[in-house]
Amino acid sequence: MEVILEGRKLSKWYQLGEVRVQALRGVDIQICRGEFVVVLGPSGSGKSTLLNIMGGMDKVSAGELFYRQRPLHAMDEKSLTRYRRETVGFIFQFYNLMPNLTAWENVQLATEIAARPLSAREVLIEVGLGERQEHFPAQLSGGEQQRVAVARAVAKNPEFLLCDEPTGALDFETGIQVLKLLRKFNREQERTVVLITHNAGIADMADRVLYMRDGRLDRIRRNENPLPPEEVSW
Amino acid sequence: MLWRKMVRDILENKAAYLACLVVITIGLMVYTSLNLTTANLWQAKESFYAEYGFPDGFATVRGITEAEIRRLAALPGIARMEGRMVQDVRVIFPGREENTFLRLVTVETGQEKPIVTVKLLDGLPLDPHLPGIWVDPQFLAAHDLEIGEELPVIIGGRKVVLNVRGQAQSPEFIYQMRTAQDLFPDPKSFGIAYLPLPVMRNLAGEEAQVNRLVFQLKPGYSYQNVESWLRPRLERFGLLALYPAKDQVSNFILTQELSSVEVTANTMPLLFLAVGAAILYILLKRIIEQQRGQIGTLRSFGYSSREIQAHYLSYPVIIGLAGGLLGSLSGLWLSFPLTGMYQEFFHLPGLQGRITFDYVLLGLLLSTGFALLAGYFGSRQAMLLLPAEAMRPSAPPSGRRIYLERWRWFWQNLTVQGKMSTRNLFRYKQRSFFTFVGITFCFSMIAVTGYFNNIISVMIVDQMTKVQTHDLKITFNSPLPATKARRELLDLPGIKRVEMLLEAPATLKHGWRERETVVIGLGRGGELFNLLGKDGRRVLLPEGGIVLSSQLAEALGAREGAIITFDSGLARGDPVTLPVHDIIPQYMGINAYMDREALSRVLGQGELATSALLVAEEKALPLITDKYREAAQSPLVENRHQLLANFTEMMETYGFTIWIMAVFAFITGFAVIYSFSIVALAERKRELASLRVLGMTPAEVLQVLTFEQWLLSLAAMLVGIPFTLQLIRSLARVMGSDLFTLPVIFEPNSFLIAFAGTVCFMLLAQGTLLRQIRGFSLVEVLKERD
Repeated sequence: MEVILEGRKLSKWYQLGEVRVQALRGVDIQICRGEFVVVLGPSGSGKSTLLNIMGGMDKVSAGELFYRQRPLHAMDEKSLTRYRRETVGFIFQFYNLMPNLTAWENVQLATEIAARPLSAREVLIEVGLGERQEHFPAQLSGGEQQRVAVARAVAKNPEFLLCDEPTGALDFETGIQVLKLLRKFNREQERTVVLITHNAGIADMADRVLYMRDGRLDRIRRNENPLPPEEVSW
Repeated sequence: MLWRKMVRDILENKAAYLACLVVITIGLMVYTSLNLTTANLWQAKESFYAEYGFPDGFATVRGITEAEIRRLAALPGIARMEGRMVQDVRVIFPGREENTFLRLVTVETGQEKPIVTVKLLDGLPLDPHLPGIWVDPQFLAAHDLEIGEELPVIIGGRKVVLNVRGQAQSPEFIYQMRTAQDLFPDPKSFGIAYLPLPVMRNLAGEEAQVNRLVFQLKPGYSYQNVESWLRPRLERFGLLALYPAKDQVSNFILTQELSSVEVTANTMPLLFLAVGAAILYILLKRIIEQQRGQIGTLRSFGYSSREIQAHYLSYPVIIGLAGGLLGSLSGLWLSFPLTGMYQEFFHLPGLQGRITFDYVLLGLLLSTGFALLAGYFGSRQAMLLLPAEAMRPSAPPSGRRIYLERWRWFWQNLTVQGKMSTRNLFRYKQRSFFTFVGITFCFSMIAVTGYFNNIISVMIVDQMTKVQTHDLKITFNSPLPATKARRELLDLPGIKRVEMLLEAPATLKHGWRERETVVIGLGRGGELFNLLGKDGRRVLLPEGGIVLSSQLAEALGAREGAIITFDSGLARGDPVTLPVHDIIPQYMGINAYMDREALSRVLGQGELATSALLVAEEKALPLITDKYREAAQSPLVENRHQLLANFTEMMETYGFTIWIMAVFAFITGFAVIYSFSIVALAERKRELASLRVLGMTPAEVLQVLTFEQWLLSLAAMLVGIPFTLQLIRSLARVMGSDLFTLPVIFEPNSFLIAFAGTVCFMLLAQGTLLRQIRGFSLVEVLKERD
């Protein structure tokens, strides 16, 4: 399989006054095209930091990270912005929608800056929100808001989707619906998905599971037969 | 989409943005209206001067012949010289008690292009054979006179009837004041009339001579060159005054007034804009802090920090543009009535409001510039955040002990709300600072306005009650022997006291500096004209020295003990030197004072008096006034009480205009407190809602926000007092002139007014805040995620 993202000895620390907090400690990682990867770990294990670094949201303190041979670790802010703009779609636990823009406007906000965007309306129909496009986030349920967030990430037409606890704020049924959407975009449109969670149940639908603990990549498990989302439970 | 987001964000916080918009609008309105008005005035003045002419120099002499004028006109540097007869005559209006004067000024009727052409606004040309006059339009309007009516006047002790042939105006008399000591033009008591020279000769008698000269300079010559040749030659004709165009009373006041309006137009709006920018800055910082997560999200899907900064810059810019546009257009509109108001004072032909977009554009640039600055600094910090950092909520402000807690008596007496509030004061230092500066600014603006309103009264009332304490002042047509005149006056019925004055126009020199002034000779032991020193004590005149007003002393660079040279057209002998005995504050006019007998000696003319101050029984006053009105020498009789009453009446009519600035300051103060409170409220909603849940009433919760505002405002008002005095000092420097000085004194009334105004706008803003706290939905607020 084609490796699109590769990190070597990734380390990240934060200096808080005199205290140095080590978030990542020499992580080696590879992500292949079209994979559905779940990063599993308890709070504080460094998975969000890893996701931020893979998405060009944060920079490593040490180590090298390449996206299709392009060195993300050495990129300036401008190049990282372009990387995020063209390559990555983010989905967050708390949806992070603009509260004063409607569902359609939220999606449109992302497509306006993308190079080859999909139609915002069509993507919203695809996530099952065809009728709710003109609603503001406050008028939508949590699951609907997260579906708007998925639509917003997908509509940019990025190569891979980075999801930070996308079901963390949702009930089980709604969570499954969101996972189904992610799987759909992963399988049907060949988008690479990296999903971080502390919910071990979700790991069953992944092609690969990366276990993190204390800033290190503890182990990697390959799922020969990933379960369809509807069969996942937690 | 970001555009929509911005519009909706602004609409969500519309009250705070509206407050800011109002402040910017006020600033721009002041800027555009005042600048346009002064531009209109300058243009009207310049084109009137250019079209109708304005002399380069003026001289007043006792009398000079046409032949001498022709000789003087041939001096190097002088292009042309013309002579005129100028005489103030009293107009007889049956039933009117106050004095009314017309200044008769002769005009050349035969000459093709005189130095100054009088503009005939309406009516018939002057006829050298008929006793007809042109009168200035203000005088006609003030007395409801029509063209064709007849005006009885007293010239040379004779009653003469003049026919009003038209109304006319000259560039030399745009601002009409009888003497430079008058504070404002009063067309009811003084006007200008123009008549042909032969008519004047006829009326004033054969002995009357040309007593005014005006001249134009040749290109390449300066006034100073010509003055040095002209002055010694004019001495022979009893030179009383020789001055360049810039010192001509009407021109001087007009220029002075325009310059001071220009200063106001270019400084005041900047202060309003700075306050507006501070509000925008705080609002923007707040919104960026609030939308930290949104910024992170935008960054996460590829918006660059520049695009995001541009988005946040659009908030202040849109407010700046809207405020600029509203302010400029309303300023454009306001410039019309404002120009009209000036027209009432100046009556400049061709002065009218006009629509020009130069200042609208400049104003727009100015307000947008200020808004951009506020936006740039307000958004700069947030843009430096890495996207991942932006996604995390910011660290909560630290709670720590503050310096004030060491003042135990203070701290222990505070309520819990007071303690929270005081700590917040130091936690949000920047906002506290802007609130402090905003309140200081508004307090000082109101205080300065109050000061101007009060100080004009102080200046006049001081002059007319403490310095001058007479009932009537009689000014003789020409100097009279003092003792004889005094004796005659004492014989009048009901007279209680008479003091003689000798007023001599003179040139005082100190080193290379010199100044023309009027030296007033006061009798020893006089009580009706009191010279007051800095501390209010009476200054006694020495026998051989001179006392200078502080303005004059400054102009001459003379201190106490300095030796100055005195030279007067009235003096027989050579110039003499005199020691400066004392320097006294004098707000109106620049005069010097001497003992009357000493002054008489210096002049070498015997014991003379030019006027007399009288105290008489109340019922005798009208009789004395009437008697002198009919007198052959027709002296001028002024009633001090009447002058005071006239002034009070004028202040009642125009005084309100001064308060417009205070109203603007009040609105600005409200806007600052209101918008900053809204920000604080939004920031601390959860904290305040928690207090409500604990059982506090909305009013008790409000205290958490208001206590710090009161603390700040107290400090701001205390600082506002010296700041106001400094502001007044600067204004006094800019606005002061030979005609008047603004005293820089602590004037408690104006500070009391400012204090009341500040308390009012704070209470008003806090009242609206209380309504918002009452409207809190506790469940909603506490449910919200940080």
